[in-house]
Amino acid sequence: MAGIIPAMRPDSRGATPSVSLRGISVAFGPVAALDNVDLDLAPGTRHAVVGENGAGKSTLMKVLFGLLRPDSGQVIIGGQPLRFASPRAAIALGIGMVHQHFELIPPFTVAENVVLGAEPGAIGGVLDRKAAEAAVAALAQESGLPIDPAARVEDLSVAAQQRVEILKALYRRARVLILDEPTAVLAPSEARDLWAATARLSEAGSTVVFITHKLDEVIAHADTVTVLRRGRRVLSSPIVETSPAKLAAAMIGESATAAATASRPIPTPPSSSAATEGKGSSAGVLSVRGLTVRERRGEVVVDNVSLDLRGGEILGIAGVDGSGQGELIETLAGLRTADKGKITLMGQDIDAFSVAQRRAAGIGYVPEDRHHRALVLPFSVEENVVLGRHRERLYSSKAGLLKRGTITGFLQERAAAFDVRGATPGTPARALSGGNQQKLVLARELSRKPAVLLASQPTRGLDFAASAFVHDALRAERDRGAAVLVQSLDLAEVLALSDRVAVMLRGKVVAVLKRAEATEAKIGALMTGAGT
Amino acid sequence: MDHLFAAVVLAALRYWTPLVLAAMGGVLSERAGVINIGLEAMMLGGAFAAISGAQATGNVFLGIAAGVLVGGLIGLLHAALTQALRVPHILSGVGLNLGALGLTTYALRQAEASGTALATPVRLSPEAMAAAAALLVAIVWFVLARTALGLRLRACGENPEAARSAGISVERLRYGAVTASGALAGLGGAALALAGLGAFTENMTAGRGYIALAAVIFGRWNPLGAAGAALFFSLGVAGEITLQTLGMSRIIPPDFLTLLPYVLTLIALAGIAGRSAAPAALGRTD
Repeated sequence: MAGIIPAMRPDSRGATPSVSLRGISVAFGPVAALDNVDLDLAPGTRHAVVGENGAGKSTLMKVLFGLLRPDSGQVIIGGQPLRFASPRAAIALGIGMVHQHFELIPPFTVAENVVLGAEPGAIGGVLDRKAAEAAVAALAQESGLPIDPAARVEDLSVAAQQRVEILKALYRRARVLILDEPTAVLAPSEARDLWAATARLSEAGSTVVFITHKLDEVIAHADTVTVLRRGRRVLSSPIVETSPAKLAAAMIGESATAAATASRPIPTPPSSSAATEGKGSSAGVLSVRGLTVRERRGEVVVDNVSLDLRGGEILGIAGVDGSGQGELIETLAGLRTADKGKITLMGQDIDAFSVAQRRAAGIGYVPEDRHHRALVLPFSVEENVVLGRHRERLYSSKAGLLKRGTITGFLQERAAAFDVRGATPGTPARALSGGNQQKLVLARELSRKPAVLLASQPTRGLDFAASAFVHDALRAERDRGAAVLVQSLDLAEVLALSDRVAVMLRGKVVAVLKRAEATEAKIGALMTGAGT
Repeated sequence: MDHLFAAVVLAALRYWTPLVLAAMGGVLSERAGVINIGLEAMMLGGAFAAISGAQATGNVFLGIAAGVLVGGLIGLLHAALTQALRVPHILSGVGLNLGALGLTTYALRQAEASGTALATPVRLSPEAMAAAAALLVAIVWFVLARTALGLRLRACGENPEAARSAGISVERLRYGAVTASGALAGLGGAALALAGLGAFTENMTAGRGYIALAAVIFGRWNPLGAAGAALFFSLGVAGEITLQTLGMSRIIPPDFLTLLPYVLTLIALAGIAGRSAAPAALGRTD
């Protein structure tokens, strides 16, 4: 037990080591996740690792942090080849990692989270809370990451939790800091603060390596960049010698560039909003009045929300993570019970409706968590595509037996319509890629031609091509006349899709703007409560 | 009336001692993230070993040591099954309970068949044992709430991935916690056997391990809460015994009186809404 705090030795705070990865290959089964990849990190620099989903970015970082042992290749830190792959060895050599999904313990305080595993004093002895809090406060001050060491992590914003994660690494004397998609969950102003902190760290001699999809971040905040595509390194370059266009070409491959950029989800004002405004008859499909939802602990997560959703429009919800947007959609879908308020669907009061009744009444739902809420991963694709409709006489007999043949036919029709690749009957949903899983979910949810479509973070974790497909499908629903409600943490996505934008902050809808009025700066300010 | 009151309290403390020791074991195991429904097996094994040990050596302390050792070994087995082999925690616990009941009953029958009873004249003072149990409650509370070791243990129960990335060996800590859990429950079994009857009888724990686990939940996984819950149940049992001896069973059927403490516990448990106090990663085998 005592041996696991080598990083606390005062003499280990040496210079930042140089890091070299040589010929790293990792395979998951038959799939090569990394193929002979090199990476060099010079001390005191900021390095960006970019690539599409599945390009191997996270895998490469896991190898560097010792979470994955490469099938071949070497990790060389400070000139010494790393022999045993483990986070403990990596930490001892001054490497720290902030994962995309934070590894914090919500009921613990900030100081407890930071010192955990490297507590001041003896392991069996009394934990000196005061000393721990003082150490964390000093570190926060020194590194420009403001935090209250005595606060409980569960009460903190996502940005503050991220600061705790960085402090955890710094407390262990990390001089090489790995950040996995650090701005994915941050509002623009919070991202600026993070980049300022990383700049200070690199000025002080530390190395910062970050993963991102966002090419503007690479240009603005990195000194050097490595581009991965399908597990191979396709480009390594100082920033001054590259450009967003070159990086994009390297990321998606020369031949695919033209096609992908054409359908890439970039903020473009929706084309058909003028046309759909003409459909006056479809006004007010879903009406929400004074909706208030409490978390189990009694905390208000959706606070007196009123919204009107019209047919033939996409209403986007923008907000920083944890503003109540996810809970709002879950409540509308029937997964949470509202404390107060009224939900009306085409004039019908649906407050008391179960999930199944809401679906039958015309609500389609694309949940945020594909793996837990949208699909049953071990079930076959045909079982998944009929899920929720399996009781309909078309798909099961009166005796309750499933009509296998009809269901398989339904799958084939749906899979063809939504270009779900690999969805041969009998394949478990688990075996599909993320993009194809989401297409399968859409294929199912849109099969009933819902009057209202609820979508929560519909492109989370998807690559450009799959995201573009999902966006096109949502727009097609809008053009068909459906009322579409989309929430996303990616502001660019909200802006690209929406006819109107609602901004949520601490459970409240603080503004509803027409697309033309919704500039990124304006929404960013509303999201963070910085003003109107 | 004062005399009657004192009698109830003394009877309650006798009942409380084994129960609270097992409950402390339950708290340790569950705060580290391992469901321990096998407390029953650890108590029963501890009771059996305590009587056998005391009978063989004539020394009450060696009897206690045997009980702690066997309880600890069953705890170690539960840790190995759940951590190394990833057996679902409930399944492992229930398996241990059935195994312990079968083995101790078999050994008891064998002994009886050969004409020797599993009994010992050496005895443990119930008052001293209750005081030791109270001290152990304080120690378990202190370790969990105030030491670095306790912080790490609780981290394993809340978010093992986070603990692991902080350089903590989650499996090793859980092995320690579940083994200590078994040792405490084994001590509870030893207290039950050596401070009471001085003999081992078939299934002599009679569900006390389950009641200890209920006390853990009722006490919201807090050592002090669990000790209070165990006391509440013990007072129910003592009250029931007193009512029986006062002749109430002529008015109320005795079976209903026996039900009393269990019904009280059920009502109390039902009043605890939700499981929000449970360690977030409790029972996960992934």
